[in-house]
Amino acid sequence: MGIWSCIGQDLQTVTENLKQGRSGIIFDPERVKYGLHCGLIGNVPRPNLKPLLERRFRVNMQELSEYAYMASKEALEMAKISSDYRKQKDIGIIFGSGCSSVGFDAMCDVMRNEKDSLMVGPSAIFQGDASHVTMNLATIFGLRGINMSVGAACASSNHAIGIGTMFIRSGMQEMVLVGGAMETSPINAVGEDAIEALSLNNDKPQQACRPFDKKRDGLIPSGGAAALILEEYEHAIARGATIYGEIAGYGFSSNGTETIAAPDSESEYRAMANALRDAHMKPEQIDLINPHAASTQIGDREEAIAIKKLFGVHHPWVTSTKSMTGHEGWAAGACETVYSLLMMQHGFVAPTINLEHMDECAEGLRLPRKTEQTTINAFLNHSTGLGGTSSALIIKKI
Amino acid sequence: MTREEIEQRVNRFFIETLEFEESVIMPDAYLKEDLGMTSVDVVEMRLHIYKHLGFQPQKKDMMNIRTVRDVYDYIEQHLPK
Repeated sequence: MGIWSCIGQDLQTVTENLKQGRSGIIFDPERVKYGLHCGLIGNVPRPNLKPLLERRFRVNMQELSEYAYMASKEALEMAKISSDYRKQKDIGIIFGSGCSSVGFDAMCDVMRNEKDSLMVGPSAIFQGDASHVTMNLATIFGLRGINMSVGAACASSNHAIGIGTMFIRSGMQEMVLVGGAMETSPINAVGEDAIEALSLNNDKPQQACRPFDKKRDGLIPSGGAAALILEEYEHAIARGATIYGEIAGYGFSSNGTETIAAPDSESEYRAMANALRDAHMKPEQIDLINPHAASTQIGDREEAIAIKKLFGVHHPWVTSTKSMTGHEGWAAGACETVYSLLMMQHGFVAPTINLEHMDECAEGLRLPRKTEQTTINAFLNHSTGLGGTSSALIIKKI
Repeated sequence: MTREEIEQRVNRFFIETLEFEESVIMPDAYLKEDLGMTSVDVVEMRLHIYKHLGFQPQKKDMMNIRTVRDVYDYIEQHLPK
């Protein structure tokens, strides 16, 4: 696995920052000048790809594919999947992500001003496509299997992992590089700002994201990327790969209601219950839930209802890593899967920071205010997205 | 613009924009085989000429440009007087 996030750009740093409960959120005045009401953002550094990639690769990339490249590079190196190995095997790639809105916006600007498509240049098509990330990474890494991007709003990359799992289970792929990538560019946050989904706590960036706290006032946009290598078990054993967890269950649902923006506890319950059923597991076998919990009033409330309904008297740890990272959008599911895998690997539950006055809706949830040392044998990672999509993954120790 | 100036500008485009090694940019070098130029790079070159040299290279003309010298010659012939 690999990670490029606002709380670290390698697994070791991210692990430490999760343990310490460090926030990666900053206030960027340029975002307010741009016209956003929310000036908060996950502080994700742009990697310098010049020493790593030839120009012919770099020129088609934008922020989110750069992050995805760095996370995937770490994942491939960790899994000991060399360039030569990739030429021999039909390894797939499925990422939850979208187009580069910066690239698309630049193309539109040129067309409005110049009224001549030649002036747009050759990279616009590769930056403005919804499969921007996977078309770039598949080319760079020479991947020869399934090659596609998944669009399901903020649940995109959790679904990407689930769909990758289905390819492995079906026997159609032995290995798939899965993940998610998200840009931090202000243009990407315009729509969410317009529907007042974002926090306005500009004065206290590191305290702004407060899942399940009474004073939560909206999500904090963020970005980054995470990548994981999914591999068929016997295949992984045969080549001596280190296995960090088994994807035991994938569940999903759609609200089926007429409201495009409202979360729905019943639907979220079904997604998580479906994942348990798929995993042949019982609620008491889940030690940790990494919920969607983006720090919105209604979103956290509906999810708390769903969790309590499903887990009843069992009280797994529930911790929102978004309290530290903000909402990594298309990348959220993959990033949070990596955060949860790190917690499982190192035996701790990261705190849900900024939880000062727990909302009544969260009473009964086992929310950690400080880092808890504990054994995690299985966790559930839950993501939801606009349009009523929900995705739940259950991953357990081997 | 003199022939020498054209050659300097073209070479600078190859080195600075397309990041080719200076040592491979010889008049008889083939764009595809020796420089490794792709179809996307050719579009970039057309755009560069259009933006900076004041005329619009035609797509069909690009088919006949195979070497670095061909680029020099093409620009010299089509540059607005």
